[in-house]
Amino acid sequence: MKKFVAHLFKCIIAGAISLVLLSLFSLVYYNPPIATEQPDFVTNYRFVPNKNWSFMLEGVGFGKTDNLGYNNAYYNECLDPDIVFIGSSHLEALQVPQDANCVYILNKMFDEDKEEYNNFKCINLGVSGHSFEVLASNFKYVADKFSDAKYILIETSNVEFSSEVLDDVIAGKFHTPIEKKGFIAETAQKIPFIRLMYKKFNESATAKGATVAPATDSRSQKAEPDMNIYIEKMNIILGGISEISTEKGVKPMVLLHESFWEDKDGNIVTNMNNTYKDAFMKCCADNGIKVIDASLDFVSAYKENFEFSYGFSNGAPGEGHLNKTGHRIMAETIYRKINEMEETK
Amino acid sequence: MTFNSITFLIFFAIVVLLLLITKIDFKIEKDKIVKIRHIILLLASYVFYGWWNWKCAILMLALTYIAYWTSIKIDKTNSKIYLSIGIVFPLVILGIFKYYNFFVDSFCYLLGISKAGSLKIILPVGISFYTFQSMSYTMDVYRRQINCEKSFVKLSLYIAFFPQLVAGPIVKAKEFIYQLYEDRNINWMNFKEGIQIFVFGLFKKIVIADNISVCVDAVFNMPQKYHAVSIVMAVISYSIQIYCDFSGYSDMAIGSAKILGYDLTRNFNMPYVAKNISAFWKRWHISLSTWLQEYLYISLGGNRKGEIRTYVNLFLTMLIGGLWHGASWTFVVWGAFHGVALCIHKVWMKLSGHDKKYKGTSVGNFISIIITYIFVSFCWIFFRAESFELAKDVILGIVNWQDGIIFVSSWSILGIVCVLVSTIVAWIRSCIKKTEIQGFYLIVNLETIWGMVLLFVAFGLCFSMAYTGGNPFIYFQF
Repeated sequence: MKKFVAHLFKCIIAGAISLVLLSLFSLVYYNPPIATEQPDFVTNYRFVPNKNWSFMLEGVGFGKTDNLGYNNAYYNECLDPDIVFIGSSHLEALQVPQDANCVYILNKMFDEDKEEYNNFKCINLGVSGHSFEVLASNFKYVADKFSDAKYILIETSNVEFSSEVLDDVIAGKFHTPIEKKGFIAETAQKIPFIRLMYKKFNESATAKGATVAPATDSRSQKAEPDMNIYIEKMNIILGGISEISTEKGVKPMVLLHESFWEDKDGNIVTNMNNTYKDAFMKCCADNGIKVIDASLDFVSAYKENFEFSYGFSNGAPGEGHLNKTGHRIMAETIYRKINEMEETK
Repeated sequence: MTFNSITFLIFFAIVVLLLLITKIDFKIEKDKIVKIRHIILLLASYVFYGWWNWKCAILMLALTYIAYWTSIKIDKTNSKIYLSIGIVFPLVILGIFKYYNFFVDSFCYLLGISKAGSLKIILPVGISFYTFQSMSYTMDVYRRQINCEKSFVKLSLYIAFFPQLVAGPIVKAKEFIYQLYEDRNINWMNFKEGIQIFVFGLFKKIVIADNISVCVDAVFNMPQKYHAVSIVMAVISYSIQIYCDFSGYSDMAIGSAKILGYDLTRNFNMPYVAKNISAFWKRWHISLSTWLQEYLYISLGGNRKGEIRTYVNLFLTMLIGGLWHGASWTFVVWGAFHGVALCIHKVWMKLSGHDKKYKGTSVGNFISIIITYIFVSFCWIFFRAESFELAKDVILGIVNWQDGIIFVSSWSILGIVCVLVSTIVAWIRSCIKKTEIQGFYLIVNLETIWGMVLLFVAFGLCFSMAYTGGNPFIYFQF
């Protein structure tokens, strides 16, 4: 019995030391910023401000959250931005170093450009899980908070929504600010290795039974959607955004991008359903919302240099989040488009 | 249920617990306790196998019964008829489930007719492994190399023992059944060793092999789109993936069997340091190559029927070995390449006058290792490619130094580094011990805190860096 107790004691000590060692490893390998409440509701959550983070599960990213709790490094606290970026994990950009993300590059470009008309400051409010549905639901809070901004850019890589989802967006159901977590969850979040395990279990559960399907046939099985309903409801959503923008004096824009693949015959195949994309673009135009489509530049970069704008060396080629190339191209596209707009004024 | 799943960990914990209970002194005879343990393991093995498909478990039971019945008849009569039944029955089962559709489709293709007569059947997991075990048992009984097993439970357990059931190692009856006559059960010594071997295999599988598979799959699915550098890296990556996948499974099988108190034969021994193709097959999938040698090559006449027949036998053995891996002509070609290479090596050995003890110079050995590795990796192209068309695209992409997407996976780099480091460590060890380079398991002392820390950290790293996309073991399909 004594021997067993002694062994158990050793086990516990070894377990504690291992947890420390694995947490040290996790600090480098997977230590994304911790989500916390966003008092202004511009996003459903933000990150704990001024905290170092690192991320190597997909790509390699590292940096420090800004004073507001987002991934901005060019300006640590940009309270008077000219361009506000709201978007998903693509814009959150934990997969690339901070100085390689789209908004950082754009800030640098505007800063280095001595033209007076585009002396713009940009802020990145991109956070994971903020797809178009969420962004549209949160738009009024963003416009409210940053009413002095010139542009609000809504980043999205998906425009295909069911009628039910659009109804929920209209009803603002995607505006779901996170609530304060319990003591155990708060404490567990502070142990990097536990967060990593949690993430892995979630990923594993999601992937269970799923197979990797090529991008080419992902939509082929679906029935033709009723686009009239889509257009009707999308017009309500975009009309709302347009109305709020006019009221606040900001200009909304949509930043569209889509992953793609080249099939065996050399055709470029995208993940986005063209029927939806065309309808979405038309709705945007009808509501005076400009769309910046970075996809065309992504495809050009691929055709010229076989450069993918998505995916990392520790994942599948061309699949996943925006990589350094993608962020650079996207920044250049936005820069070009905004300059064009400003020059024509 | 695979070794790298949570379901297996729970299942295994239950089996371990049940076996531990049999250690309690219930005042029951030792023989009966041993029988109970065998029954627990047998039931567990059928649950493990039936988890995929219970109908396949019935098939395995039928196969076991045939092996049991024929071996008893052989023991009594030494009749070749029963031997034939004991071999033909598993071969028919294997033929129907694995090769029937393949041959029908090939036949239809040759005659230029549309597909006809194909069966809609599933391929039972691990069928190639347990049919081979069943056949080898029958042949061993016929050859009087082992005694006929009178206990159906013991024979069933030999064929169905879950650690090695679905992807080997292919255990020979003489290497396993004797263990069932010993009082084997879980003990601390075996547990300490087994768990470490298991974790070692787990790391190879879920960290290296599975992560590498992402880039390999991408390139092999559409090699025309990739730059030659990416294709070369994908071929190298696949050589590491298949090694880590299969040897990882074997390690997990050996480790889990060890925990349960049983010893399985080693299946891999640093195959990529082989100096020639013959040495490669003494280090790669050892249980299959020895099986093919003992039960196929020798049965065909081996080297006893003249020089030409020796080469023909060697070639045929590898050709069938290739087909064993899968019902596809690409596997046949893979086997044929290896067969030809083995013949050429044999001729070379004869012409150069070198015998098996010839050690060679360091530089010569190094060049031989590189050439052997390049050849083996070239053959893997046919093994991995889903069609000849794709294999051709892979080869032409390299030969023509094709332009395209440059993609080098960081997991491939990690895999290469791991293989190189372990090779260097094994080489230093062999220099110190003055032996040939041998693989070994790094076993730490789990009595100490630091030993335990190492094990826990290794476990933690496995789960931290595991690929979570769900990737079955490559050899399950065989």
